[in-house]
Amino acid sequence: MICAINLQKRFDKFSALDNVNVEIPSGCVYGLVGTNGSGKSTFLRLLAGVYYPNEGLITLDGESIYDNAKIKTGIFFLPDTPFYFHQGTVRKMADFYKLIYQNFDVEIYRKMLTIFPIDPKAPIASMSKGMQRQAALILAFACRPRLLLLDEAFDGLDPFIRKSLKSLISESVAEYGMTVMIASHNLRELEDLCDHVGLIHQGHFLLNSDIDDLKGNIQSVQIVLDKPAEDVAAAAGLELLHVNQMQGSMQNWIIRGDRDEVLERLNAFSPKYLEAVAPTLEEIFIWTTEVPEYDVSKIIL
Amino acid sequence: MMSQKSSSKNHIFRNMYWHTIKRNLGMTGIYSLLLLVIYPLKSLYLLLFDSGNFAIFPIDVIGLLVPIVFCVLFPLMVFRYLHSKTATDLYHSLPIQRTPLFLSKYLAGITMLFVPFIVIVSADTVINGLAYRHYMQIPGYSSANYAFADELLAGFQRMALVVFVLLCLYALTVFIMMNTGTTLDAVVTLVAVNVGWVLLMAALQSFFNGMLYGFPGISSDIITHVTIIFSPLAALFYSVGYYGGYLGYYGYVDSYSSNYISFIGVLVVVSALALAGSLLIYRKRKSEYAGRVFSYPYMKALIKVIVCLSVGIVVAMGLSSSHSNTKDAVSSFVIGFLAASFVSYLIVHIILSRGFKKLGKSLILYGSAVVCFALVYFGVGFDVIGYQARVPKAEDVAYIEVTGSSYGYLAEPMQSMTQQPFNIKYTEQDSKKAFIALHQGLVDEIKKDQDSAFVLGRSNKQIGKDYYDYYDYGSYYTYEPAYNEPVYEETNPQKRYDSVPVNTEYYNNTITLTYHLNNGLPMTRKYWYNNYTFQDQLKNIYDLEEYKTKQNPLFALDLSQDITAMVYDDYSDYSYAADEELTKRLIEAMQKDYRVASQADLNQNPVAAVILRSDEMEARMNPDGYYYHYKNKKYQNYYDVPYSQMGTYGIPYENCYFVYPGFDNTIALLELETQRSFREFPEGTKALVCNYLTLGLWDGYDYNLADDYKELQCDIVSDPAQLDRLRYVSMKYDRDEMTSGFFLQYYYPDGTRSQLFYCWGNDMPAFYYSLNFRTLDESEIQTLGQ
Repeated sequence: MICAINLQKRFDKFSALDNVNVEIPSGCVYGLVGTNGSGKSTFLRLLAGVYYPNEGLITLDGESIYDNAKIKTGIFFLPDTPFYFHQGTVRKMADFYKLIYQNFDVEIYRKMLTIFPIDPKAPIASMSKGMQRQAALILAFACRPRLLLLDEAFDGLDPFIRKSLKSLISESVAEYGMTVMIASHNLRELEDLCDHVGLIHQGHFLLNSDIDDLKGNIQSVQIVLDKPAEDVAAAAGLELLHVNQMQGSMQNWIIRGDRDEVLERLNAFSPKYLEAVAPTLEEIFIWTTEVPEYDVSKIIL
Repeated sequence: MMSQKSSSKNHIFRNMYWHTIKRNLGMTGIYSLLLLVIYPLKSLYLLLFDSGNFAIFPIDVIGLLVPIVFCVLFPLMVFRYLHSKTATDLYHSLPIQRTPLFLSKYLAGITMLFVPFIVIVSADTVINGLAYRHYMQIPGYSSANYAFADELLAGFQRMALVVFVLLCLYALTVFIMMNTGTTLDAVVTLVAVNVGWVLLMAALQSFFNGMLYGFPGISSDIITHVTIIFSPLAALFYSVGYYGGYLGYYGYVDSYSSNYISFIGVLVVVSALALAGSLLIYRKRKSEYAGRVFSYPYMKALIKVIVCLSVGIVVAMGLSSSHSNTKDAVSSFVIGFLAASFVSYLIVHIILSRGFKKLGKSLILYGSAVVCFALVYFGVGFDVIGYQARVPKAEDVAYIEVTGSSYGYLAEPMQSMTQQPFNIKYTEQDSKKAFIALHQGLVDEIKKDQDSAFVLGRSNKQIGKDYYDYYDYGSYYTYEPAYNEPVYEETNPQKRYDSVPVNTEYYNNTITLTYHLNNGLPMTRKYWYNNYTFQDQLKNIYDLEEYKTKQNPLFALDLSQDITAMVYDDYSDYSYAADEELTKRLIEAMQKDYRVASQADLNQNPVAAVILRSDEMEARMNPDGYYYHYKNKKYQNYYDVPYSQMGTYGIPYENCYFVYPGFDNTIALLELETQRSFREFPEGTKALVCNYLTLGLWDGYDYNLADDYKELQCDIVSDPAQLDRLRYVSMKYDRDEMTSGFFLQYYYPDGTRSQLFYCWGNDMPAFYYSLNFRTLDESEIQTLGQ
């Protein structure tokens, strides 16, 4: 369990994270979404023990992470721009990690080399951005961390490799109980991978939830009814979040509540047409985080 | 459980240590290769193919430059990840605590730096030592005077000093790495601290020494020690022991001197503090400082202040020194300081801030530095604490310690070795009053010299009138003739000599008065003054009983030693070896005479010289003039032993005491023992005086004037007054063949003649220039012995 309590991180006068309180369960794939400069990378670095919080606490399984070698043995941080030694190759980097990470698994390392087509003897600096990221992923998985922190993990990867990576993450979570936190500014990239998601903006967590819970609590219905939506929702005791006029008299209502209950209450008004459709993660984000000072549609892609 | 945890920690620490070394093997290889070429290979080459240039333990500039460069490079390489965001992400996310991470890298750097150095230089030392041992066995070879073990030890001691200097520099470089965000800042800081700090220390020393009359100067030892705190490199250039800078002297180290030990002490302490500071800062260092220009602003502030003050003071002093007028000098100082300090501050700011960012805020620091310095400058100039005018009262003084070069010139015996300043404690009330009167006279003279309330420091100007104030011919024409100088009517040497006031001593002396006050505090003042201006005060001092007995080593003889006396009547080439009994009586007689002699007595031409010699000291001398120093446990050049150390043996190896005409006790004793007159030349004595030594005629000390006079320009002196003057000159004869002057020989009526005297040019008597130098006839020579 990752736990952040009143977490603050400032860079001079700039507050990158402000009073963050989140709990993230172990063994999940956590998508951390936010625009550039929202605080995603800072949060990851705090989790990796690279940064020390100005205030508050961040723990993994109840232990503070900063300068805690024992807890960090199970954490691997892959930043958006990974560092490689001068003239470093995948093999040399693997040798280095082997010295430092006690859990380094040579078998996994070899397996990863078959998944990602990288020459382990080639200098990493001469590789393309995508290949460099693959090299970093090989090393990250070979260290067999309990918590894998990936910053913009899919950047520069071709669709085939992305798919492989997603499978690999799912397998690792299933097989080793690994927790994976992926920070990205692209919500769609994470939609089919994450089971938990967090939305961060200007140093604040706007949302932190299980995706299933989110999806189960927000309903998107297509409805044809000759009464005003607001009147119907009020009469049915439903929380109407948004109404979107579709073709003809068809409307799309976003309603908070349980799917069956929503459908039952709306059916009581005898709509001409009623169908519940699965909301996209984007829709959920938009309608669940709607607060006056944020226009969420602008902070997610 | 604990041991497993500890084992895991050690495992990662060890792995990180070896990994760091492995990562930098290439650079370590280059470093080792360079050391190999500079040290053992060079020594072997010289030994085998160029033994004439073979030097013993040649740690020289090049040999030090390489380790110095790598001493900076290794920390830059080992800790460069701190200056890169991506590398910091990697290292600080690793499962290793900061302390072991830092120490593993720190030790790896030290290993890379010192293992090759110590191994290679040790090998070189052994090669040198063995070769040296071989040379020691060759008769006549200069190294035969040294003890092999001592020299080998000295070689390792030199190496040890270099190791400690490098260790300190390494530690300081790491400290700077911890305190900077970028490598450029680290390098700029390192250079600025190492150079700027040295410059600032030198500038402040010069500033205070120059501004304050009476300021004894900050001890160079203290300055050196303070300087190497931030600039360990300076240790290589400062003196260690009694010798010049380490590099300057090619590495001679007096290992037993307090300097060497305290140097090492300072270096070790600074290294340890830098290490502790680095570790502390590293543990607290924020990863986000990597690559940031504005990390650790205090370090940059320090650099800016050091650079701007040092540059400002140096330029200001340079500009003001050419002015004798206070107003102009102070204006030049202020303008020079403001301009130079501001420009240097601006340049450093632009470099460290990559432009003019935050300049406005930064100028507050500059302003503060300028204000602080201005307070010091004007505070010192107006002497707000009364430092320059303070003269203690005799009743407040427990005793006075006086150090001076020749301040008691007239009473000093002529020593056979380099004149060393005496350091004597005066406790008598009369003595205290006399020295305080001199001090007061000096302070009053300074006041006369001021043209404003601001005391313009003129440390390079003596107090009192200058020699040229008494001399009409200016600095161009000294009263001594220049070699081959054309003779003009108005400026001929005789006229110039005659214009010098009779009995005037033109010595510009220094004196250091250290008052040990009754309240337990010391008060020290040092002055450079003209004897003539303060002759009244000096006369009072010279006449002091305490002065006479404490100033003169004759009264400090250790009579338990075997002392032999040789009596010389130099003008007649007479010498007489006194036995033990006579020596003792002679010493007693001379002590009596010196005790009552007035300055006028001591201004007379001496009639004899008594050389007292310590046989024990002589026994320790080896044939090349080196004597075995018990304390230092090595043979040392006689002239390199300070007088203070010689004092521990009772008397120096050899001291010459003059016998003056007023020394009735001594002369009576001598005349009784030798049946000779010691007061005047025998009637009819003549002197053959020959002009400058002529090149080609010189044949060492075996020159025979009687045979070779024909080839010289000579004249004969028979006037008793002139002979008397010559006697004074010949008493001080010098056997230095490089001395331009004249030589003379006395011919006595009984047909005997004296030895040949080679006289200094500046001892020439005035009548010398009126002599008619010419090629003498044989008949004229024959009259000499008649």
